[in-house]
Amino acid sequence: MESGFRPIDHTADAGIEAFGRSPEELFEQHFRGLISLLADPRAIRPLEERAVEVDGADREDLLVRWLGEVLYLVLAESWLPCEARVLDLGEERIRSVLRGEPFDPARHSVKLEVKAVTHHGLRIVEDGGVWRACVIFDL
Amino acid sequence: MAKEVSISYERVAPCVYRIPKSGAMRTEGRVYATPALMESIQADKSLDQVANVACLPGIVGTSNAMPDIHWGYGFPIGGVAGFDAEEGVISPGGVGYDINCGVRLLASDLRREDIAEKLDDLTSGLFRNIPTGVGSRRKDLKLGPSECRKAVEDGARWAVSQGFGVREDLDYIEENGTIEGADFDAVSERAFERGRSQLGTLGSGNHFVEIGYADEIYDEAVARAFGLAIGQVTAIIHTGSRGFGYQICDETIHLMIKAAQKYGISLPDRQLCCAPIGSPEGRRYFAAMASAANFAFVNRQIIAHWVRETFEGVLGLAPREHGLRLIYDVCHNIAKFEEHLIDGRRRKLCVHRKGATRAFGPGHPSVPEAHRAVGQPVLVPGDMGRYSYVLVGCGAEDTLGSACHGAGRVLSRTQAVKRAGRRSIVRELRDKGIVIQASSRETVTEEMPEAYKDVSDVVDAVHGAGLAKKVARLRPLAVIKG
Repeated sequence: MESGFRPIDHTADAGIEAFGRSPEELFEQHFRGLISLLADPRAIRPLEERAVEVDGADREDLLVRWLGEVLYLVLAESWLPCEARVLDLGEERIRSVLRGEPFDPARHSVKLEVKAVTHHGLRIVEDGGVWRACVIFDL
Repeated sequence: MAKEVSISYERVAPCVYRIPKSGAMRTEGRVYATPALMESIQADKSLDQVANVACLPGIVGTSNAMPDIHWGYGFPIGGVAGFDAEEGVISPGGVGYDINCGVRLLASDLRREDIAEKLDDLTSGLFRNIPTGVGSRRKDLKLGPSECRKAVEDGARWAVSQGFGVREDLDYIEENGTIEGADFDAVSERAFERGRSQLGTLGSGNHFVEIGYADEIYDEAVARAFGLAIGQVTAIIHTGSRGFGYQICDETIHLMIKAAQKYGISLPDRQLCCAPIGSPEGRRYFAAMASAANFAFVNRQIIAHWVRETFEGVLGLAPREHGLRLIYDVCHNIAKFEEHLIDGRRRKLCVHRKGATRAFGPGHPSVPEAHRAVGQPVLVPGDMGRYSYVLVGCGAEDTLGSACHGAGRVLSRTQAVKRAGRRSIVRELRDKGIVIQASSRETVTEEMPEAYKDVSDVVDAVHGAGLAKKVARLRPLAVIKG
């Protein structure tokens, strides 16, 4: 796989393995993976934009913290994103734009209560131009 | 990433295994398990995690694992470790995301046959009164910042002052329902925002409220002291600090990754991040963690009140007629300051229990007066089809007075759904006399009994190792879930 994501089967929790042809695309695929765990992405319309900027210790930390921001928007602010674009990805900072809409109980449901994004075993690796990482979520 | 080391161990007693020191380990590991459980424990990386915890600065005694150990993040689930209160560290990974996830047991004056005809009504009454599942909440309970401050600084005491439950309840909660040292100023705006609408909610996943009855008594004298008798109707509540605690843990992990670097603590796994207990980072985490622990005590106190109200509404009974009273409320994800006897010397430790229950023995001043002669009640929930256990703590200093907390999954959620196929778990449970209601059908399937290990194996190991002794077994009758 060059670009995409798939769920990882995990005894107690859940995970996503994602792939991309660049680190930016890897991050965007992880975003899609997380949203697919939480909700039905097809039911979310890209009506509003939100800028998300996060600092971290390194790329792995950035990935965890960025996905953590997405989770917070969904669970604490009841705002569901369906698209993410990474504008700038450094070693210690990411800038991105999310598109989505406020949670509407008539059309949306949150399938799963994800407590947090973990650092468990997380390593971003590159092999032949394909970037890959597995992220485990605490349920 | 956890280091790929193969862990060697030896059996030193019928239910105790020793992991000798190697590499950067500062102390030995101890795993409390039967040979059969040890077989399955080896299958994941949890023994590496026991060894990793043994590498942390200031660890006192051994790095311990209860028989329900399985791999967690950083610390294993089922891990118990004490750190010197002056020279040791405190780690959010040693507590877990669901701070003060715990179990509360109530017993009634009703007998199983008194509610047999009303099980459906009781179940739907509970389901109506207690918000379950993602995003569900009662419209009559949303906290402002000043009320939230009181709730998290005062704990269950605050809930009682608001009319949730009675004064006597507080005597039967670990730490009387208030961990000292909580400080709302240490709680981030985000944790407050994420948690404020979740007080008095059960959540999803393995959290539940269960009405059941005592079907087996192993120790008559202790059961009598706890107020438990065969055929008696009971209620179990299993939930924690909801988004409030998850957010505090998550934010602290990010801060502590930096703190560990700053204090020169080398981490075999990033999720083990920690800081010296006395450092600003360590003190702030303790104050925030204690706030979340108190939030969880309040949560269980409120839900217990709604359980009582449901009994009153559905059965038309007055409080003194159903007699629902607290037997005990235990934390199973917590860090606390406790005094323990280590090599003949009393020492103040910060004890981390992650997926482990305090199990103090007879005579300990922290055990409620009414139970002090026999020891602290230890509550070990199983799955929703089989049984849960009440044990009594033995106060074993080897585990810093700790025992197990539950069964642990054996099937992943996907495997459970696949295994269930087209079966109706709701109907299967009904055929066994158990009524279940949940927010989602998928949750019931994911949580089906065979997705869990048989909790009696875990309880037998704890009993065999002398950490806690079996007192009573409880069978489910009515369950609500997320």
